[in-house]
Amino acid sequence: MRKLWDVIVDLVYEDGFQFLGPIVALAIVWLVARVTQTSWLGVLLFALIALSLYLSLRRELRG
Amino acid sequence: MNVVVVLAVFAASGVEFVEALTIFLAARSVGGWRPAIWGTMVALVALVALVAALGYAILALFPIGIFRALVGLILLLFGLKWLRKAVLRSSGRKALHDEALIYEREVQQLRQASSQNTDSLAFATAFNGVLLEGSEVIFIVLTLGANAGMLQSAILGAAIAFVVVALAGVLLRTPLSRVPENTLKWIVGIMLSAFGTFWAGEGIGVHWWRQDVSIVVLIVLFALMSLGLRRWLEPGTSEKAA
Repeated sequence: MRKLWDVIVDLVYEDGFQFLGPIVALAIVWLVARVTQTSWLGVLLFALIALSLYLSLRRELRG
Repeated sequence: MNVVVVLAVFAASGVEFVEALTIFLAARSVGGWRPAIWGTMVALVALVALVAALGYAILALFPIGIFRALVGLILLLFGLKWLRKAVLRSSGRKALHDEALIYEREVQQLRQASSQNTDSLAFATAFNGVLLEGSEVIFIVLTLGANAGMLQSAILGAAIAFVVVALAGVLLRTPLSRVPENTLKWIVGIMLSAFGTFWAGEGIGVHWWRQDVSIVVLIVLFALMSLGLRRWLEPGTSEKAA
């Protein structure tokens, strides 16, 4: 499971694609917003963007 | 002249002008005055042309939601790029990974890249920010002015707000120039990320808590997050992660 996760992260953050994270975050929130309107959508968006930055930096550390 | 309309448009458009000024100052700190002013001027010309060509029809024809999402995404990508670099540098992670010579070479390359790319980056940032905020001011003026039948009062309210915010910008110029370059880039990264998240969120249907007040909350959250990430990246703290 962890290996699959690492593969996904590597794919998303491969050189030249490291900014795919925020786009994926926006796409997820856009999909959720189509299904339900909750006041927590903003929190979800920030959390996903923060996660994408964290994953990008973690990948930088791992080289 | 309707004083209530003047005050309402002053308050509403003042918020938009402050946002535009913030983006403009961020663009200026990245690429200097020239590209930031050019980006602003081109955006203003585009807005004037749009209003002259469409008039009130702009309210029905302009896809403000899609526009917000696109501009927000662009600013978010710019902002995260700056924030990521600032976090890596301030944590010393870049210097630890690179030897002195490589580090110097990278600095040289960054300087060259800076002179070539930051002009267009600053231009694009100022252009996008001013175009989006300017279009929102036009919406405010036209909707409030048309609804109240007081277009002149609405224009006056927006004009006063513009002058007040522009004066604030002139006063802020000197204090900003004293901030160290790396810190300034960090701040720019935080501001662009916060504005980008807010606008992109609005564009895709997020209803922000207290509307524009959420921008301040996002600025604080991005600042705290980047400080946390820097702490995590500092040598010794993140050896396991490395």
